Amino acid sequence: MTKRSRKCLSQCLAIEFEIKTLGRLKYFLEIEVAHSKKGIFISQQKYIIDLLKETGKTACKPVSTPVDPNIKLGSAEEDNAVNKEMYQRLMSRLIYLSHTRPDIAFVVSLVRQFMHQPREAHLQAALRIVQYLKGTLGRGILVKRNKSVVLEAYIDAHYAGSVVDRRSTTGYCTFLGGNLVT
Amino acid sequence: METCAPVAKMNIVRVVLSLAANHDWDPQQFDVKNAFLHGDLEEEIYMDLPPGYNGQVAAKTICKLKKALYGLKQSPRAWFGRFTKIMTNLGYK
Repeated sequence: MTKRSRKCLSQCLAIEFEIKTLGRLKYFLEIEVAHSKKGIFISQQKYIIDLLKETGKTACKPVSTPVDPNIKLGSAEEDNAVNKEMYQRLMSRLIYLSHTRPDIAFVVSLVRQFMHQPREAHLQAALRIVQYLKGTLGRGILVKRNKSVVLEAYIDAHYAGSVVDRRSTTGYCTFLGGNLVT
Repeated sequence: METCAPVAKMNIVRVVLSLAANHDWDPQQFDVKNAFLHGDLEEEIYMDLPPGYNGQVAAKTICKLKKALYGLKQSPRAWFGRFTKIMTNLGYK
């Protein structure tokens, strides 16, 4: 957008409504946006810091992976039940974070399956994700300048892979112009 | 009564950002103050008097809304319609 058309749009809108011109996009929907020669970088550092405060994990020891590789999460009925509202709120935070943090998308999809009846084991696995986030605060997605608009999709399926209930797992990702979209 | 209003999905936001990066666009941000108050209403809606009119108007008076208010089911859609109209008039497609 040229400087002139920018000014024009801002003035035209101001005729219709009372508006606030915020300039170049830098923060919206709890997402931080940074611009550079390489492209546009989106991250949610502030959102993670708030999440750490809310879960009381500000001073926790960071871990380098979001999940124990040998974990087998089932309904864990023998475990103590945990506060459902608190667990569901934590899930909503983690799901929203997955927008700029696809590295936690899979583990979040594991723990969010138990939202209806969360147990101690599930909460511990969820809090481990929070611990992982603490060590990787500044990560996000770099939307690169690739000078292309090619659409690419990748998909993989794990047939009946769950040791708990024999269910299958599928995953996919779509790239537009070399950048992750879904 | 039409109350269904379109909202941008996160995927769309990422698509736009990808296009912006690839075409060297410079995304700009605007905030419309009290956005939902700008919507034009299609339906007839009435409300009780807001507090503070004691004795100044005839008893049993009610208000007919000319514009959308926050909290109405119609407000998001009314705002979207108004905004779309203005952007189209400005030449955006």
